[in-house]
Order: sequence, then structure tokens, then C-alpha cells
Amino acid sequence: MSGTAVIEVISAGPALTLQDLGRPGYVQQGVAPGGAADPLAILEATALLSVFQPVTAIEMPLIGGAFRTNAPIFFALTGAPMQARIDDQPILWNASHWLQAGQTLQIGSVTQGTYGYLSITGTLQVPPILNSRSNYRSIKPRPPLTAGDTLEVIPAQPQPPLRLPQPDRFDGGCIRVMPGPQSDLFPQAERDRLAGTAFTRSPQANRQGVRLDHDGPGFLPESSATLASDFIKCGDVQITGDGAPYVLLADCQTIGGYPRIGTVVQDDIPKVAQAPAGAPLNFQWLDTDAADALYQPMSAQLRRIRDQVKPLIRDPRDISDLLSYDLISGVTDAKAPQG
Amino acid sequence: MTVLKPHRQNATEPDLIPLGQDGVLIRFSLINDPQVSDQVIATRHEIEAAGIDGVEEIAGSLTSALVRYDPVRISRTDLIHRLAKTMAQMTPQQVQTGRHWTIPATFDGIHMQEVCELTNQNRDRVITDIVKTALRVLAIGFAPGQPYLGLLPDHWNFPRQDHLTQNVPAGTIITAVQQLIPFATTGVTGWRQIGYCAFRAFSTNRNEPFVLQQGDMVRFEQVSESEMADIEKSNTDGMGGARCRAQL
Repeated sequence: MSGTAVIEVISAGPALTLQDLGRPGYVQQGVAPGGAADPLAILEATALLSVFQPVTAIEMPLIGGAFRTNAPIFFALTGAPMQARIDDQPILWNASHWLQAGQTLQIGSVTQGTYGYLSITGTLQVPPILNSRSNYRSIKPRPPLTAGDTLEVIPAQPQPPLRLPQPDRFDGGCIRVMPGPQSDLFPQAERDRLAGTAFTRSPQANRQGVRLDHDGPGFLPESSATLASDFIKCGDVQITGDGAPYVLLADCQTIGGYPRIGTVVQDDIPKVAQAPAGAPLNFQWLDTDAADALYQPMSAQLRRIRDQVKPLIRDPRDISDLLSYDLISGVTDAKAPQG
Repeated sequence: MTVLKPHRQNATEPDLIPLGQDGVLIRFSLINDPQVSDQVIATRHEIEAAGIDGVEEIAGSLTSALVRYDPVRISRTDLIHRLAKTMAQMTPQQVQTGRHWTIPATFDGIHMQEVCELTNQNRDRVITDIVKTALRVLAIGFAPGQPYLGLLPDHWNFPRQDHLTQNVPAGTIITAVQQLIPFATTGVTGWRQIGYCAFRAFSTNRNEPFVLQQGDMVRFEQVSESEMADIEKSNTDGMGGARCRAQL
């Protein structure tokens, strides 16, 4: 396959942005790493498209869009599962598929979670800024996608569609949190109470952070002295003026003035980002050693995901799944031979 | 250049605290303290110079330095040991105050009258305070490239407003707690608006998207409305007539 495929955005949800793994290394210049709200979805797409470098995806909060192409493209659907079909045919989520010229990929609302991702194989014709195509505040390599927009990619080689097991991070649950620079400002009893409280994800949430609601009094620091603004990071559990916890996500600022009771470990950030409004969340404290022991570099996470990838083959014994398979442009498609 | 005293002479020993699974925060103070700004910059430079294997990023705020590391290459324990050793070896030294910038500005912001009342002086004196003070880039944050400049004289130590103002245009010069900020992008702030400059601290329309570094010195220079209009006519690079004089 050669030349450029032009992908037309026929319709688009309200906040479709390009996201990759962000731009680490610019905190001194006021730029947080940013990137996908659910970075695991980027790694899953990378594995499903069998590419070496982590991909750039179209991040779709709650609602997807409709896309048409003028040349075959190979794409992956990851993150929060959404209703998806090619023309009239439902297709499997957390899998890769081919979209042929003239076909329409329709992605509807989430059925679980918050952020779905559409990733397309090939080099996206959007120049990165500071080594990333993610939108972050005033840094916008590509404005949010709207109906009528086009995206150009130089497609990759023909290859067979793949699938991954459906992940389990879209319904809230237990969030592990480690002590941070300001944990000591909170009395031990308040820190214990944080772990003993049932929270729900507030409707008030975006790429900067997620507010958590609970019954009972707010969480208050011991001292009311005015803190200097200091470094904050994705995963920090900030306590706002009314005592509600607010977990910072990818697009948080680099410096902030609210006290922070702890920091969510890297592995559980996707669970916070993906929790839909009303989902239950609770915290479990880990000490620094236990949290550090959980750390996994991106390369190891990607390796673990690649190990779980399976071919997207149709087996009549999986009859209950049959409707979810792509019957039109799957591995048997003559235009997409196994390469 | 300013002479820096040994970092322990004026402050308690800094705390080395986890910030996430790949970060150590070296914190000199929990509250704003102009005395620690030099220590932050000196410490940041010293750690950079130490070239500790596994350190990926070093950044300075008003009161702390953040060291982000690769836990595969260095453990937290080893890193803290190396950082403590590096800081223990710091001697009185001269801190590079960085480059000196002059930024043209006008001073007709919507809160000028309020700031006159808060500082208990007339507009001329307010402007004189601003243009006569050599301001340091204390930190960069809030928005890409956006500098916190300070410190203005003590009588500028008033808090931000209780409420936030939406859609404050890029270039607006805002003030609170003895500091000035040339607003990097249009957005929300609780600080008071006193002036305007055509300088944009971050722009992808030039080779160096970020201009200012922590430790640089900045002076505002008052220009007329018509001079500002001329500057804006040819400002695609967002420098807004800012001039740089390198440290001698």
C-alpha cells in the first residue's frame, strides 16, 4: 500500500482530540507531560496495530464519531468500550480492524468507562510540537476534530487484525495511593478516614482532574497557613477548599496551591480517568516502598500487553461473539492479506 | 550576579520527599519565602552538574526542586543518597542570574486604580515601582512558559482577588503577592490586571518556543500606546520587542 489515505470525519463527539503518551521533560517550562487520559489504551492500540512506537490516537470522551476513508486503513479501538460498527456490521472493541475505501466506521456512546480511543496505523500527517501530538492547554498540534475535518495518514503494511482480552478498569474500584509532599499536613485520622470512605466519581470531571463525592465532612489539613504553590503531578489527590478530593489527571498544571493528601500510583490512574460519573471509588494507602515496587516502565507494560494479543479469527464455536466480529473486512479480505 | 550563602545557613535542611513513583521533591520551604529562591536555583544547577545517572528531569519552583528519575536505572534510596551528598558539597558560590531581558509594556490595566489604593500610592509611583525593579524569573508554570516575576517592594504584598476573571487576554500584566506575570495565553486568573505587553512567553512561531528561564532577570520598560501598536504590527514571533542582554 502506498500513498496517503484521507480520513474524513463525518460526525464527531464534542471533544475529540489527538493524544499520545504526551511530552515528558518540560516541567521546568510549565508544560506537564499531558497525553492520553488513559495511557494504557495507547499501549493496547500499539500492540493491536503491531507497531513499534506508541501510537497517536483520537481520544473520544463518552461519544465517538463517524469516519470514512478513501483508501484501506488499519485501526484499533481501545479504552472505554463504545458501540462500534463498520457500515451495518457491529465490530469487536479492544481489537484491530480494516476499514476499506468507502466504508463508514461508526463509533457511538460508551457502554462502560469514559475515554474510548481510535488509533490508525501509519504516520499521521500532523507535525508534533515538543515531540508530541497531544493537545495541552495552549499547545495544540491539531485542534479538536469536528465534522468535515480530514486527517491524512501514510498507511502501514497489510496485516491481520488482532484482539486483546477485554480489560477491567472501567467501573471504578480500589485506587492505591502513596504519600506525597503534603500528606503530613493532614492528621493521621484524616488520612485513615480517606481510606475508609466510599466515594463516587462526581459528574465534575475532565482531562485536568476528577472530583470525588462522598457523604460526611470534607478532608481538612491541620494548618491553614497559605501554602506556596509547588509541583503537582497527574495522580495527585488534591483537597479543594470544600474538603473534597480531586484526583489530578493528564492535563493538570505543573504547579498548584491546594494541599495534596497523596498520589495515586501510576497503575491505577487509568481506573480513575475511566470511572464513569457515579462509579464507586475507594482509596487504599501504600507506603512508599510498596508503591515504588509496583513501578513498571512503559516498555515493560507494552511487553506485557503484546504477550496477550491474539489473532482476531472467527471461530463458529464463539457463536455468542459472532455478531461482534468484523465479517466484511477481517482477515479474509482480499485487500488485506496477511503480510 | 548575587552571592549565595551555603544553602543551610539561612534555612533548615531541605526535605527530600516522594512525588510519585518516579520523583523526589527537594523542598526548602512549605510557604512562600523569597530567601529560598536562590537556593532552589543553585541546587538545581548543582544537581544538573552532578550528572547523576538515571535522573531524567530537574525543575525548580519558588520553594523546591523536583527530580524525576528512571526507577529502572536508579533506586529511590540511591538517588536520595546521591542528592544529599551533592547538596552537602555545595559551597558559597556565585549564582548565575541568567540573562537580562527588557520587555516593553503599557500600564492601563483595568485594576490600576485598585492597585494604586492597595499600594497606597499614585499611578506614577506604581509604574515607577514596576519599571525600576529588577525582577527575577522565580518560577515558570501555570501555563506553558509563563514566568512568575518578583519580587516587587513590600507594599505590593496584597493577595489575589476573591473571584476569578475569565478570558483575560494573553499579554495582560497581572499582579498579586509582590509578583508580576505577563499572561502567556488567554485564560482565567484571580490576579489583578495592571498592564499589557506584546511579549508571549511561549510561541511555536519561533525557533525557541520558550524564551525565559528560571533565574533570568526582567525589567519592564514603559512605552506609549502608539509605540505598542507599532510593536504589535510586526509581532509574528511573539517577542513583543523584548530585548536580551546576556550576563557579562
